[in-house]
Amino acid sequence: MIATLQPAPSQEDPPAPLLAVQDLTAGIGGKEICRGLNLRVEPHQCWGILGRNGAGKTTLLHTLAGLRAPAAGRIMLSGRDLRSLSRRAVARAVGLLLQDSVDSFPATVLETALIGRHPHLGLWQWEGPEDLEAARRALRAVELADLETRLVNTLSGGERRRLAIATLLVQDPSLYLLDEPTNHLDLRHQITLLDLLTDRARNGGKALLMVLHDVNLAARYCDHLLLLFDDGTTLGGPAAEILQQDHLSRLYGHPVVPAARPDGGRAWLPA
Amino acid sequence: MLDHARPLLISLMLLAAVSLALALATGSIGMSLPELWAVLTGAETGTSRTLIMELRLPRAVGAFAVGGMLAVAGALMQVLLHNPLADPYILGISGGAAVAALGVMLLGLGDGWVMGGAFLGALGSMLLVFGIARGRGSWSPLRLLLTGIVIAAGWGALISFILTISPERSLRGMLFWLMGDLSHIGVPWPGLIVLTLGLLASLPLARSLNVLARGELQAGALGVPVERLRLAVYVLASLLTATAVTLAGTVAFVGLIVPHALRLLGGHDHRLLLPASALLGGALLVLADTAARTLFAPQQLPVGVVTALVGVPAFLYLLHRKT
Repeated sequence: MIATLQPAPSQEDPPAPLLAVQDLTAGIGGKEICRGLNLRVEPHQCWGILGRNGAGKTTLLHTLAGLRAPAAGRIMLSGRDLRSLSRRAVARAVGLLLQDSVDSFPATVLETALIGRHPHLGLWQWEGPEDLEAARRALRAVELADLETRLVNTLSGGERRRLAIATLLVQDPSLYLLDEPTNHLDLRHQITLLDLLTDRARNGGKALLMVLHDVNLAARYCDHLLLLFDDGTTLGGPAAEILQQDHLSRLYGHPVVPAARPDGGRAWLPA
Repeated sequence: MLDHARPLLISLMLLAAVSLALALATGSIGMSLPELWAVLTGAETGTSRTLIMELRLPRAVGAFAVGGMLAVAGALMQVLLHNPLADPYILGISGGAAVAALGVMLLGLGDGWVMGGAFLGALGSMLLVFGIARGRGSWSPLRLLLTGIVIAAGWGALISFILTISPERSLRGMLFWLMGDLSHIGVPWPGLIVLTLGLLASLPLARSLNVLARGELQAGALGVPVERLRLAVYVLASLLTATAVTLAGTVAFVGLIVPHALRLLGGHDHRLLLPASALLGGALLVLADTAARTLFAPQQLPVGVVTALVGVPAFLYLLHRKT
């Protein structure tokens, strides 16, 4: 009944955005994390979400992934209401990198990467050679190819993070929701993995929405930013417009100043 | 995937066949394999046929079904509760069954009543735990686990109470029931049917269980309808446990150690783990029961004593081998 409200896309209409958020109000534990949020995410875009601890960045990602119901508003995926889609259909379009991974049960690195195929396989279908190839390709991309048969609980924190990213690559959604993708990663892997993920958007037609705590990584990788303020207001738009001293200082409740980098760029530092 | 599963499943099937043959051939009257074959194919029709077909076969097949049900229920319960050390009894199903069964014994009613009471007690406990854990909102595995443990403790108190007020002559029967006893299995088919149906119903969920084992949020993000899956797993595991407890009382360790051992041996995929648990759990209980009725013959041990005595060192060995 919700789908009928949205006219079917015809030849003349521009294609519906990958993600359209309309008047979204969401909260957790009695706190409103955003009020009347509107957002359009198109293919090739990389969005960064910034905010203080507890501002609701994770809750927003979970809501966009359909894991939490919003208090009000609509979330449209390529023109279709999220609520009208099955969980499996949502999982084929939207992938979510969680802040932490759980490994109560033993599984090998390859087996863990392969569960990314779950939403693509039928009830009785087993993973075929092409699924296995996709998993191995993803493991190579995150430099875990040599650890294929290792048990997950023997991996280091950074290796687990890369495995979670590989699982997401295997899932191959159109919209990547990344909750602090650089958690546990060393300096080099922060750069190589953000290069890898943003390349999926820039050259692969996907879109990225990632929660980051490092303003400079956000400035380096994101073309759009969404700031979640503590009072439930939000500010979103092209990165150049959002990256202002006063916005950032207000966001973090601490003065943030620009500084010249030796390579000519600009870095944001806490005063 | 299947290539890696086939050798394990085939060896477990062989183990199951060997355990059943051993159970049929062993007892007060020993039997060689050719003699056993003659009985099973109908070539032999004497008293040994009566012995095998009417006593040993129902008991062996019943033991297999009970062991299989417990192991599958244990595997399901472990994923549901996110705890590799959960067993089928952890949520109080066996406690509810025991209170009802001992109550019926206290009233001096027969075997049929005891079984009926046990089944109703198990179902009652399952509904009670779920109803309380669910409350008015959503239920988390932790809330279910804590509710189950508390209810189980309550049943434990009631069991002690019944044992205290029971007359001497009923105590022995009650203790045997509590430790797990297969001597009351008359017809094996109910257990075998429930095991088969339970396994068939859980196999379509198996790949989703692989995802659920990586956490509820991860499962939701990969398209698993988590609430529905958890409910299905809870009902399936409970019905399997209830049937097993009804037929054999509380047999310790099978439901804990079998899935856990298979996981340590590389059975991470539930599409392999569930059928493998059924086979290994069944074979293990058949062997344990054969030992229980022959080691100190004519005295019979409760089979739960044997499973626990074998289970504890085996479990410790597996644990230390891998870590």
